[in-house]
Amino acid sequence: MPRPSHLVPTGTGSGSVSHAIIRTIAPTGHLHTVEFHQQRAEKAREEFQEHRVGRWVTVRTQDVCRSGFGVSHVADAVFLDIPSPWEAVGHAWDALKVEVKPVAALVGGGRKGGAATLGLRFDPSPRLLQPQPPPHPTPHCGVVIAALGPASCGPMEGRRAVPVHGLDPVPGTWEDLAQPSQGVSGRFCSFSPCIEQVQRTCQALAARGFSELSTLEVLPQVYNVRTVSLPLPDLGSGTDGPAGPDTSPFRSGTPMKEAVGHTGYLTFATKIPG
Amino acid sequence: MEGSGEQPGPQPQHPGDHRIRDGDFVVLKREDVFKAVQVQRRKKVTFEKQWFYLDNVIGHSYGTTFEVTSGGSLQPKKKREEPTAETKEAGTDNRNIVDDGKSQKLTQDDIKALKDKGIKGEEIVQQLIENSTTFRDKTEFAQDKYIKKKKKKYEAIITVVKPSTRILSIMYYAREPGKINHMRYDTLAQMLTLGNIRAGNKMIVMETCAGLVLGAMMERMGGFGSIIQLYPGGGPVRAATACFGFPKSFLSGLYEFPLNKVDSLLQGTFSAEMLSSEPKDSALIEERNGTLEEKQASEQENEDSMAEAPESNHPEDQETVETISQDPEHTGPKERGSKKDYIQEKQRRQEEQRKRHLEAAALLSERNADGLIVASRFHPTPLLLSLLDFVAPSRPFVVYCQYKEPLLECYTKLRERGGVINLRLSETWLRNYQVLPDRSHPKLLMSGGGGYLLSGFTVAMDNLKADTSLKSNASTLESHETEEPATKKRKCLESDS
Repeated sequence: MPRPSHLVPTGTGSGSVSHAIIRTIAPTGHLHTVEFHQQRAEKAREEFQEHRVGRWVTVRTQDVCRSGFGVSHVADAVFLDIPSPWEAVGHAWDALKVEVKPVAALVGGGRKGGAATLGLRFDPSPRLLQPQPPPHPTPHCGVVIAALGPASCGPMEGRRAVPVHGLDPVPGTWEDLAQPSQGVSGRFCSFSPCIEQVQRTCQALAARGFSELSTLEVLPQVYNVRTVSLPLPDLGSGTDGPAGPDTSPFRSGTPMKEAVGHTGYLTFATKIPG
Repeated sequence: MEGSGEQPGPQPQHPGDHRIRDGDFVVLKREDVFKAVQVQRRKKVTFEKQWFYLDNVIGHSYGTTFEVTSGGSLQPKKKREEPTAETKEAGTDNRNIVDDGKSQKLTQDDIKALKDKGIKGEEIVQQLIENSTTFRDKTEFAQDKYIKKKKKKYEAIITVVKPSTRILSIMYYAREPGKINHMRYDTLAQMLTLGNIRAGNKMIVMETCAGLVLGAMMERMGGFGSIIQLYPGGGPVRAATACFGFPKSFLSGLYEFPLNKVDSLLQGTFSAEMLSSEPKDSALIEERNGTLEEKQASEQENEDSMAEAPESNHPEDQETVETISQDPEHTGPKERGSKKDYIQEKQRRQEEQRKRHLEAAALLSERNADGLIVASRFHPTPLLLSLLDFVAPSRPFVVYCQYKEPLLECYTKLRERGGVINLRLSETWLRNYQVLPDRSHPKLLMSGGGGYLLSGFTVAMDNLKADTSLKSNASTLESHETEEPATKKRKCLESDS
């Protein structure tokens, strides 16, 4: 899966990631999210309702490492943002599709933290006048998200691609089912701050049969736009240059932050049933 | 979002939609190299120094791996179990290993003979290992590395995958970055998010990235909503869009409109008569409709048949996409029963195009688009200043530019114009990692070469006057030290209103 960038903007345990995914998979996809913290799960449910996206998401309260995602063989993608993703790899494999059916994207997330730097804006409704500014980093919380296509055969028999990262439609594209839909490959993504976690996760992924393992990091850099004018040095000849004591001003894009911080590594993999 | 967007007609569900079918647009993958092709029987395909027919992939699932066998046929390859547990004889370090180029006992000819005999890649690699005098002295890590390297060279494993924005954007960035203005895939991902691309939107896009950005948007929107593409020259280039293999139903929400009529539209002087078809248009009709017919786009780069040039590093030789010989819909010119039929067909299409343009003009004139995406080789400032007028307030816009400087100017001009907030100039750096036990480390850091983004939101012009302290045009630079005071002032205004 691609370039995550959009993955996560922090936010609250409610999951900016959830919102981002819902925004992406609606109206035909569905998101399943798992949160083991009762209160946060409840808050998440409330927020989804408040933002009028409740019908595209199901919040389950359970421990994904122990009990899995609560769905099996339906997800197009799984996303994990939890402390021990390697423990959930097996569950992720089971949750991912084997055949293409209503498209599902399963995304599991845990703590949010990492998302911080990725400034996602979510606009749940075009009628909102205020855009959401990029949220501030918040302490870790556990949210697991998943998405699943409509289980029943409604008039909108569609599948929905779930570009978790904005790029990968994930198996199951669009409406026209005459078009062979995005294959059978389910995508997996895990977000971890520490390289040791990444190593264990990769090991677990390879052992479980995932392929196309890829770990990367996306670092955003934001620039200020400044008009700058540098003073000319006095080399002794006395007279000022044609432009006066300063050079002509120029525009510059200066980095907003001196150093670009690290939030976490993103590890992707594909499930291709052998 | 609830109940938003038009719905394409209900379709019956097809079981086995994950199987490859004749006529499908697919992507061939070998290691990290991709190539987009259309599956057609008895059509020779070249990829990574090999040629073969795709006939045998039909019926298999996407994601299946194949091996090229003699005669150019593809045979499915089962996922082998890695013999990891075997204890291999290995050394501890390389102090005694001398690289004299003589450690491999098989010669080039020997290897060629093996290949000609039809010996499988796996076998060849095995032979190489056995005939290497230094192999067992290498450390385990070195052995792994050696095996990987030989496999890469001799095992021709090709996977057939379904096209997606991810795959196509990676492919284009690696093979033909010039065609997409060096827009790296993570930058594209940012655009889709910052632009809030989703089902039901009415989007305006102006891109010269071979239609890749358009395709990414269409994929995200899934046939819901509408997209109006503004194009320079005779017609939009949509070579990359075709690679996605979208269903025909997606085209109903896709409009195009010539860029050179935008001014008249904004000034209210646009009229249907202005759309008389130019001679160039007819030649580009096929391209407009998203096929991969080889046509010279008058002002675009040559999008025609790109065959794969094996070791060539010439961008113009390297080809990413196999030519599609014909789009079923446009068999007209090739099958002309009579010249008259052809002319009629041509006129019909021109008329249709004209109609579409008028519809697009009407949509644009409503000035209520849900977002604007710009990613072209042109200077972004004039584009933004004009096209933003078509966008409703409180909507996102994203401008991509290969270079930072034009966006600096754009930023300033937008501040002068007013009607925008949350302007943000950004870039993403991408770093990939090798993760192996005891051998984890970063590989590459990609920065600076992936382009820059300027994004923001539109706001109603009435509430926010353009900052009058900013003088327009050339004098802007001279009149200020920095932009900071202006921004702060704007913020005050916002909180008051």
